Amino acid sequence: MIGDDRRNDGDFVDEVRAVLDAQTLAPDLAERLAAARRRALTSVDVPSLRVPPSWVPAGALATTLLTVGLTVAIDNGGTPPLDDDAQIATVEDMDLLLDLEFVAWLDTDNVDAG
Amino acid sequence: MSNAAALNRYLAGVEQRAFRMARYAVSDVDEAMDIVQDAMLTLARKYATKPEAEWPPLFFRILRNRITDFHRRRTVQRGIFAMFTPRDRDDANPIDLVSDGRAAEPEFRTQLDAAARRLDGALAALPTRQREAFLLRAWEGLDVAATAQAMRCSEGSVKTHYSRAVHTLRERLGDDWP
Repeated sequence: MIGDDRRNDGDFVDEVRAVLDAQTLAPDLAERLAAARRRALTSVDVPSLRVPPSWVPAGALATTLLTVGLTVAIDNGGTPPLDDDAQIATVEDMDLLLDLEFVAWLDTDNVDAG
Repeated sequence: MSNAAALNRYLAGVEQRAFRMARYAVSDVDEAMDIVQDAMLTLARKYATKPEAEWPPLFFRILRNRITDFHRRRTVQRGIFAMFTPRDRDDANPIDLVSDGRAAEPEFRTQLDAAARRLDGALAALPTRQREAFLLRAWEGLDVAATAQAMRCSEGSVKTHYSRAVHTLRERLGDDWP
């Protein structure tokens, strides 16, 4: 392309690129670059397998046992165990009943006779 | 293909051009080597999971930042005059610095080598922004948008720097080049 006045910018840039590409690095420099690349690649994060937290297996086991226990209880015709509130209400009802019976007994003639 | 394999392929294809760009900018083989190594390390650590299409502008932005860091350190060391490009502060001939030792072997000075040396000298003499825009566009093949991303400037600035670089190179190399 010597002395070609008609050379446009595109042709000029193509020639620049060709000359740049034709240059090669000295082997020792190329090897240093390759070694640097290998070192860099060792720092790439490898996606690790997700390990569940240690409490997850214990929680799963407890849930399973509770579910199995309730299922067996219902299948055997039993009533599900009452929760604490239900148990307290039952005891209080019983006390009230006994109190009412006591008051009724006081109203009877048996007391006057005593 | 895993990220590491894809990144290896990308870096293997770009590392020599990146090194030579860094060497144009800092005029020192070892400094250029450190800069490229650091840029590769940063890309691998922080951006390996990004889509491959995003790697080129990211990599060259990192490279450019490292070159800027180098010049900042030099500025502190040498004073305000070190802020200028290597041609203004360096006694060494930039052509010799980029000729890979072949200048010492006259028998290998083919026409292509002579053309390459003239080109290297002209590139090294370009203002930094013009050289960056020209090499990223013409040699690395980045489009205007990616070049702007790498250089942290507007696309209009990229076009201006590139156009001026082509004009300056043509003027300095002359019509008889290569």
